[in-house]
Amino acid sequence: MKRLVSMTVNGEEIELAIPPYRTLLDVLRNEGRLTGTKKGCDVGDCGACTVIMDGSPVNSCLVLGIEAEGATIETIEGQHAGPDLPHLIQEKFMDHGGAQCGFCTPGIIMMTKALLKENPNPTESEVRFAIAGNICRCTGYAKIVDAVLAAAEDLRKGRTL
Amino acid sequence: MRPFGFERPETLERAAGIVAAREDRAAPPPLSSAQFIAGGTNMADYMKLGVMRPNLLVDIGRLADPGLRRIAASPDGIRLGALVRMSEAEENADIRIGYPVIAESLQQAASQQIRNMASLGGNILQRTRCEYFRDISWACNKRDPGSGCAAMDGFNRQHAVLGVSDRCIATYHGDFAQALIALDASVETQSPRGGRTMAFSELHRLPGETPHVETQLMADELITLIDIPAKPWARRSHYLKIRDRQSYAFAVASVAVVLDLEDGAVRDVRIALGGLATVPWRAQEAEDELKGGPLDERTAGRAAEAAFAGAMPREHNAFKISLGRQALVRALLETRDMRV
Amino acid sequence: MGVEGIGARVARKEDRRFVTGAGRYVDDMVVPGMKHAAFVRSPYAHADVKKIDVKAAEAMPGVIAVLTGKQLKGDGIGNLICGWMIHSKDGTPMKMGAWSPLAVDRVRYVGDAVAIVVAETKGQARDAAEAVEVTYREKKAVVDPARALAKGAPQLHPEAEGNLIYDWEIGDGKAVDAAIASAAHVTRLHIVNNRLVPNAIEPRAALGHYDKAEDHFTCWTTSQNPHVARLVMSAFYNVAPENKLRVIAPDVGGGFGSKIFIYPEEIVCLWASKRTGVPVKWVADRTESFMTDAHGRDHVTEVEMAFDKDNRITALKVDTIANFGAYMSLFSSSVPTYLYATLLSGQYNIPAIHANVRAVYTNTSPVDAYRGAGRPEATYVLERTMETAARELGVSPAELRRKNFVTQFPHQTPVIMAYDAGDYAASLDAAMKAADYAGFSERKKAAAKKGKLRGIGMSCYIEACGIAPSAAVGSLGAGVGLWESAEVRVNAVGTIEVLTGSHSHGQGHETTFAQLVAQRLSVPLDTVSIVHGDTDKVQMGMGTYGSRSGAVGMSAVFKALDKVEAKAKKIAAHLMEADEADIVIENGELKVAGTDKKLPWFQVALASYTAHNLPAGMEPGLKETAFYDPSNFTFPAGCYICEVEIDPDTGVTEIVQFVAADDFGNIINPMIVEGQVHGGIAQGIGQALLEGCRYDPASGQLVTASYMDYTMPRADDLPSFKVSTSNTPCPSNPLGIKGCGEAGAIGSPPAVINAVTDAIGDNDLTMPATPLKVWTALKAATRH
Repeated sequence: MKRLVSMTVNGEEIELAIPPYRTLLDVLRNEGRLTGTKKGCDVGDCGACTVIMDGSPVNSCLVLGIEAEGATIETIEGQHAGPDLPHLIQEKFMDHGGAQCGFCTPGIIMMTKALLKENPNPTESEVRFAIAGNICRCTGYAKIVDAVLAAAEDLRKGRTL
Repeated sequence: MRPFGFERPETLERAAGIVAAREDRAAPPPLSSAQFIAGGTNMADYMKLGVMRPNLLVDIGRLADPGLRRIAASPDGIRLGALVRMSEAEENADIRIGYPVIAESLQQAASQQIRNMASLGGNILQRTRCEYFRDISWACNKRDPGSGCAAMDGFNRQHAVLGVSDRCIATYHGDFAQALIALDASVETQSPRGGRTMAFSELHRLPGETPHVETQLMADELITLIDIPAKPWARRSHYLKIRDRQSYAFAVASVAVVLDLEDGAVRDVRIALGGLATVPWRAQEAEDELKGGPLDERTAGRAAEAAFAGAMPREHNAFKISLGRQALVRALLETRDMRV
Repeated sequence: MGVEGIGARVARKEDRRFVTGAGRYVDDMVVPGMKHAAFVRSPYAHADVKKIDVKAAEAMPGVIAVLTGKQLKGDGIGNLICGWMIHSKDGTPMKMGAWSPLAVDRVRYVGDAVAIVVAETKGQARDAAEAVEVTYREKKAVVDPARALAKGAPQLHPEAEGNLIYDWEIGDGKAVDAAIASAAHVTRLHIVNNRLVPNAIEPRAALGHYDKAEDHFTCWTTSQNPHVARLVMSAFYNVAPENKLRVIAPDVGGGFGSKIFIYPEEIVCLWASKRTGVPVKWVADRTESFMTDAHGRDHVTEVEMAFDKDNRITALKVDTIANFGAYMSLFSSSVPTYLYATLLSGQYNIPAIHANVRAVYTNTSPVDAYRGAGRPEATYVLERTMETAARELGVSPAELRRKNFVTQFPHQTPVIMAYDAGDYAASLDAAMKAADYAGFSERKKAAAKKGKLRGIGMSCYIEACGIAPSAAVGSLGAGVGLWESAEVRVNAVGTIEVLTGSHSHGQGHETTFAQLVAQRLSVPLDTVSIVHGDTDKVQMGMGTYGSRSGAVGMSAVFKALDKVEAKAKKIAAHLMEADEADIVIENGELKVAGTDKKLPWFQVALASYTAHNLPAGMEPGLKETAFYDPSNFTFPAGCYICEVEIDPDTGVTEIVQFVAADDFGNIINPMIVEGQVHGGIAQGIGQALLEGCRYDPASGQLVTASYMDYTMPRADDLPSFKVSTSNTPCPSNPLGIKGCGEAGAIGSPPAVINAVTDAIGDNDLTMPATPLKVWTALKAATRH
């Protein structure tokens, strides 16, 4: 039995009819046509599906689509500083080589955004702890950490997220 | 996930009433065809694995009662609404200062994403991560009563050494629960029969002959509040978690300690053990060993021996006895040495 | 070297789409009318399939078809092959058992597919898959190779008596035995190289689409080598003739070897799309990936290393049993033979080497190449043995190695490989300096005061990659050549496209290949596009694995550029009425040296396409192809040093520093090279401390089938790394590149285990050295 669910995704209000057993991840990717958020394990272990929901980073594979009724969702597709302008975090990931195959990247960028919103001045150890819920198989995390710390430094210099 | 019905009641009464109206309302809650869902971090996962197959989900995540989402600190202690998120409790200043064992137990669990989603009520009711329970191709008395236990003679490294029965040795993996045991917490519940309060230590039931019955709760009964009585000496409290890796994994052994020290002597102490038992575990024998005396390596060692005197290992988890003892000693000494 | 050329630390062009979530992976692809597949898989490790009843499944909602192995075989679909022939000592060929894409009468590992369900939605396909009634007659299973070889073990394949696939050897057994007999010292070790699951974060996926109107198949697949997939699916699996099969590997989320092979699923999806008349998409869930992706490693080795009285190695004897799993995967046979035993000389002068390798069938997932493929196994054997020998002989690990280094090049080893160039002492020195090796004993004392155990370990690795000279591998049994292809197209108004047979699934080729072109033709990086991954667009190529895309893939581009440059110069010379020999390429222009006569690129390009004024006899156009066949393997080498601090109460190992000093020859982009090394080291640390794939011995069930049970390295498990590179250019390819993709995973596990065993004073530790194992070892030690 489908339910009508409205939510705000990347600033846009959308209304969808979805059955209860579909996860937010599947709804975003399929009905929402936003394929940037990835499915790595579908059971909340790998973090590839991380989106920001009502200001908090969550595993969208564990959120039922209908749970997102009335929620504000931010996905990777909504991150930019302006038309065609990369977001601060995206810029740093590019500068520092924080992506290799790119599959875990959207989830890690969303997690990073949430981290820096809450703690704009993290230590390396705090960064590693914050992204511990996101598995990357390619990078060994070193350049991801560099990118996050570089973004933090720019925040301190007055740039905004 | 297989298709299921979905209800989102506005009130607690309605939520409990939905389940009370079901044909199998008398079933042990884990086997009920209607399940409550809050953060979904356990439920969604198990439904995808086919471990739990409700045909009705009752969403309690939006119940109107503000008390469910409140953290209320007062001279009487702390009252935590059952829908408070793990991350909210962990970040709360009153908790960090007054009851550090709670903050530490929450912080070292899972990932940031999961801590943002999971409710405290759901967290304490979490089901085991035993791999034989989680994989429906194995025999499991908890999942499928009477079918047997593949863990008994299987790869049981993760399994419990305390509180076991010959039907089930699955470990209770939750961390937060150990802090609650060590703080003499109680829980309040609501059902169509009214409200009741019970000591947290009585909430969970040992597996015994019925591993599928995990708590005292009825299927139509909801935890609404966790009550932690004031304990000034709870400032000297600590959660030590030993696991296979830095983050994300469940405890191989963990210890919650709350310590009342005066002039180097133990006036009172509470010890709870995680990752080692089938239910949240109060190490009463260890506490009794320590009360009234000094706290050093020797007395801590004796307490640790007492804690595991009744331990029953299987083929692969005997190490937990030794490791558990060691962890207990270390947790005690670290708590003793805290600057409060 | 310009701002955007060879050696420049340029940001990656492909990152734009990755950081904005605009990457297009197979699961992101939608084809009109697309349906979804789920596979019915055996829950038993070993069983006869007596009956498959699909009626109930067929009747379920949304189901379009339920297809079985009988139907597959009836349509002439072939069995999976292993493409590298290995002969046993007695001359007999390897015993390859039949592997049908859908099992017909026997299943041999948990996860072996027996049927496919195609339905409207994934959920419906899965539900119907559960309703397929398969009658199995369970058989005894065996998961341990030694047990599989023993008398009375369950037999997996009629072709392989005793489950033995081959019993192969290399080297001089007599010389080795004699040297051991007369040695001043022999170090002996039993070494286990633990089975790993590659676990790229993107699960495998395939989308098969048969177009009836054109009688043509398209397959989108998570592949590291789309042309090889096309070749194999056409020539061996009879899916379609090559000219009727297009394979597209779009953005692929990591491979590490596991996406080289052509798996049952893509074959079956293609076949099913023809049977059903609809496009069929399948995406593995994570547990399926754990069960059915090719696993890596899984060797058990006895090693003996003989020394003379001056601590010089006189011989090495190696006896390895390699677990192949239930079937021989595409390259499996080569991994413990020509990719392993030929590296057993390591960085050392070893006069006599002998290796015996037995490959064994067991009821586990098939095993094949995983990052390093044979070279991590060889390095682990050598470097654990060297470290152990140093401890036994009472000499420093660095000095024992130094004494035995090869210093004269070229150096012919006794195991086929001839090392071309290297400076092993330089890497060792660099690593020791960066690690402040000299200060270790002070740090150890300071840690001991705090109750912690510090240890330090090194690993001097060499590997053979830049795979590979075709004639050489052909003579060793390979069914394919391992050259690479490139076509450089200069477009009419001067932008450039490079069509490469290499495939990027994280390696950054869209940037590094463009850097080469930008440098050679002196054009902006922006104007160069790299095209890969589509057999319709790109000429035949061999794909990316074995650290070959730099050494081989880019050399092909280099050769094609030679031809483009030559033709462009001819045209420019003609247009400017100058001597060809006087034309130089500079700043985006072709100039007559010593004059101010010049033409911008785009004009030369345009001239080639307008063809109004070309040299007599010259064909129009400016597009050249090259196939580059390497003349030798390349030999990256280096030294890794790992320092650990262990908490004896918990057994937890913290890596306090990890230093890598690698010699990769010339490198194109230092940032990308660092990233490759970091990623490889992370996987190596994962193997050493965290990752362990486990089967239940009685039932053959894969116990570690999720990220909860199989421990992947996470950000807070790992330190930051100190990596540096030196350069002895590779003499065997025009770019002097050795390659860097696998080195991290090859060199790191022994460095870590050498450090841990040093810290706890117990050499007997298997990977993964989890806190439990370390703690248990320490407890056992204190009892003595």
